[in-house]
Amino acid sequence: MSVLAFILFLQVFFVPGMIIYWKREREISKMILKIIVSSGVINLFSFSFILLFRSVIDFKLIFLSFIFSLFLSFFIRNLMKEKKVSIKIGKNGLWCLVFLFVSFLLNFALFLYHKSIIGADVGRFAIISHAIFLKGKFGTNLKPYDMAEDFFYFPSIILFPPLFELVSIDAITFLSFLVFFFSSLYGLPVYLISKRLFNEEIALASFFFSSFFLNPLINIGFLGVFPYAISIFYFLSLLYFILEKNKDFIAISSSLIGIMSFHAYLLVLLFPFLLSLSILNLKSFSFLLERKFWSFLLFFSLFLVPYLFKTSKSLFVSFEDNRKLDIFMFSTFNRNLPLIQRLQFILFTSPIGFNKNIFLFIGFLVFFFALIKNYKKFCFGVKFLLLSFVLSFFLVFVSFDDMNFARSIWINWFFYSLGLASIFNDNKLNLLLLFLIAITKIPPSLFSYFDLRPTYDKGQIPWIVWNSFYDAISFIKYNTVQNSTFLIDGGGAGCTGASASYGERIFPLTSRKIFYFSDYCWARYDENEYRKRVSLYREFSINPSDERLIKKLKEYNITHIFIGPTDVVLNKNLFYNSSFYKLIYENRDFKIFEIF
Amino acid sequence: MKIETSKFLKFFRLAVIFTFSILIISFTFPHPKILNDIRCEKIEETSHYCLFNCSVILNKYGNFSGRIVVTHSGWATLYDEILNFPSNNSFTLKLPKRYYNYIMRFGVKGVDGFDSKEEVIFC
Repeated sequence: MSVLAFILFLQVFFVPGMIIYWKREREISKMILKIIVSSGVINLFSFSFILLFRSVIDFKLIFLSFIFSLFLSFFIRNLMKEKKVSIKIGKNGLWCLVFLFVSFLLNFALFLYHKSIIGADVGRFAIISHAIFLKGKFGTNLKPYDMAEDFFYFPSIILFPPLFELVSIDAITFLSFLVFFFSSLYGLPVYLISKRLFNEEIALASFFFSSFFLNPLINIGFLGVFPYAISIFYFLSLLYFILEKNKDFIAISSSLIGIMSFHAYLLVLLFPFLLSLSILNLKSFSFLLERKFWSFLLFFSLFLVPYLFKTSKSLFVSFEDNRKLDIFMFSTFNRNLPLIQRLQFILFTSPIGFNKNIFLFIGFLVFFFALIKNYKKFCFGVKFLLLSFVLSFFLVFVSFDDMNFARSIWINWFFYSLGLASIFNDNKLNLLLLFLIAITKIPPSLFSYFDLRPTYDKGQIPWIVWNSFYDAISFIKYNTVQNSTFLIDGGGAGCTGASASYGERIFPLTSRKIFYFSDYCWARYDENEYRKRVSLYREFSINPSDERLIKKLKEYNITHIFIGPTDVVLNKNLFYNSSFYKLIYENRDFKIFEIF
Repeated sequence: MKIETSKFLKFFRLAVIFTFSILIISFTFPHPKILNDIRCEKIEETSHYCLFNCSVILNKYGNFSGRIVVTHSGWATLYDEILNFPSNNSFTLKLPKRYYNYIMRFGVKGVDGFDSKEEVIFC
């Protein structure tokens, strides 16, 4: 089955792009970027289009979609009408490939080491994927496996995972691999942007610093917000394709649709760059005058209509006033920060967790030093970077109250890595530096993620999914009946709902149902039922031995209680001492109680 | 053709500047202040729970509907109710005793927008 999964992954993220760009692009790094950017988007068009005629999730759907995506790829290749060229690698191209390969190996090692990314998002999307897979049909009503009757989210995250479930790859594993895969590619658009703005030496050093040291994609993706993280790759690719001398309208439209199909919020961050470029070099936007560009963008956007049609009811659900409280906790976090602290958070912290880091302070200083040093030498590049930095800083500063926009501080990492690269651009010395970073595992480098350990602080994010969790999952898989339902400790209103025990992952990993309280900010629920569940959770956490409440749990067919090491509201001691529960599994971290 | 081209790109530049300005204005626009305060008073405490009597004070009078949400960290919602003003501006809250700072969030929708407030409540 893993061979099938490998073929499926190749088909989704390589084959269409290979058909379009093989020997149509002279430079290898550019060709690889275009292959990856266009492939995923073309397959997304295909899956969405086939959904118009056929919603059943099976191998026939995969087959039909692939045939359609191949047809689209050949159609686009003919549309381009560009001559065949021989691929040029060169000395610097070879270095770029070496960095890309090392980056992939490191990210793959991280994937094998951690097995999964952390946070609540991956659990939520895995629940959706597994519910669709079990129902055997694409739809937004997830009952009886989940409370959500309708939801909307960006299409790539919803459409791809169920297909991989068909080849026995669970959604958590697939989405985790996707994060590490895109993380390994993060340096590629940065390299090409840097090469366009400066020169080959600085570009290679940019690849090095952005991939291995200041990589926001791994920070945001691994620590939970993976759709936004993957969208960063498409964002920087779009930026490069706009900066590129010979405009490729397919690459531009694909990367634009790529952003929208993973996390459209990044479009907001695009404006400082568009503004800088329209001030400095308005001709960069000459592609907007091409009829081909608009035809391609509009025609292919139509392919997404079936998906949007199926999810349209909840399209704007997260903007409704009563849903604002779901993300309120995060929104107000930054609201009353004093000016100095606000500046510190924006300039010197990580996008997830807002952890201060001395290397970000150094990066900031070096960035400005590099701008001053190179002012005369690299006129356009320096002016563009300076103006984009000022404008994006301004935008981030005013939007910092909102959690989704506060994450935009990652863009500073991009600027800092370019600054570092323009000062330290000796490849051999950088390789030595890589070795030193690997030994010391300095945060926020890629190597520091090998050092993450679970935290046992109450109410804290349990930083990694540790082995004892998989032991508990294995117990559930082989020792409980298929129709068991697990009450998990956690869950709640919209975006804030999750489980510190990662109990929500029981369903996608074992197909056993879970009982919790609504968990998506972008879903519509039966509001009364949701409030009933919240009330039940509160009362049950106060006294789990209340017979009236146990009767209610049984009405929901709940058979087991799953409690993790950082028990949230359910107090495990109250279950140990109760005659209504039997402890059937216990390891260092996890307890499973059966209800009598 | 050249003149049209240049006009279109200049129009594009204006559109970008306009959108950027809208973004800045929408983020910096001050929130309407409908909410004044949320006060909670502990009226009972046992080894299993705490009971609070809470009231919401508004700056404006009129028919508002508000939503109150109490969460444990970011991981669980324990209370989620709708309050309709001015008829009910107080409520009782029973929370499990976990020696923890619960987060109480309150949002209210008035004629001139949405306002929200956050408080910490220990039990």
